[in-house]
Amino acid sequence: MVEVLPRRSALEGALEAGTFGAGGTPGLTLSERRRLAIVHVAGDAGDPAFTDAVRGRTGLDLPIEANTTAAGNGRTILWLAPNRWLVVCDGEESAALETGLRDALGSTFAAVNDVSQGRTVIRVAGARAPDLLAKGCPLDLHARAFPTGACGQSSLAKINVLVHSVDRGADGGTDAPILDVYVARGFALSLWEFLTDGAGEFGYTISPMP
Amino acid sequence: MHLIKCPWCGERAEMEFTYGGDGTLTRPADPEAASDAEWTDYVYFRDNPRGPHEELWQHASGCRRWIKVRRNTLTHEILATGPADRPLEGNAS
Repeated sequence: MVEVLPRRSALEGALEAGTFGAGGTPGLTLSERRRLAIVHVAGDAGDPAFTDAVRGRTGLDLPIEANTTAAGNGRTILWLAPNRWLVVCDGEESAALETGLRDALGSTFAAVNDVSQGRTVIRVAGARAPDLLAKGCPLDLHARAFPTGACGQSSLAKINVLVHSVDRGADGGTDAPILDVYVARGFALSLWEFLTDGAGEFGYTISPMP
Repeated sequence: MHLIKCPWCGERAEMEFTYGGDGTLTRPADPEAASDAEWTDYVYFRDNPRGPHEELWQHASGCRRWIKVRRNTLTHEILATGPADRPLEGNAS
């Protein structure tokens, strides 16, 4: 019998809840989004059988336009490259999402891979969130260029990342802007140290993990 | 920062890209029949033009796609970019 090891965060032991850095009101909040199901999907965006199958399983239209996302039903689909997407789901088993997508696609020319354990997702929220990422990322993170729902793969502190603009606060979000940073697991600790180091001047809170 | 326009992602910083060499090379059509001289030319010999040069670049930190870039080797000005699987639009010079 195969024993499945419990998922263990790459930031286990490094992520310590509390308030740090400059005094006064903290400018941002750092947290890790844990237990996400993250599935990489590749297929032909021009093939209706492929797009219909993904819509059937996720309830979302694949974002065809570059650097955009589709969100709803607790799921998000992020555009990575032409014909490449990341399906992210909170509160669903990644294996169920992967096999579900694979079953829906059947013999359609496509590839589905569960990469949940290979990604760490760090949420940077608060007024100074774009300022923190801008310290090491060449993306234009201004709300005008990077509005709610935008995403982009780039480099942050020389680490390849995917940044997702979850909420820019245009509709009165309380903790906005909220930016999610997807990073390969092996780089997570290094990136975490960059972020906590850079956030010191703004003052920051680290949310306790459940 | 110097910007290169990815055909998919739009204008991005040069640091997201990796240089991939001369984009005008064509592999010998019939590998078995090509002579050693032709192979040597294809594998090793490169022009070193002063001015516009068609090159391959990869958007390594972005969408990972290979693209064609026409770059002025003298001024580092990017003259045109496009997908790697078709000729670049516009004149080479």
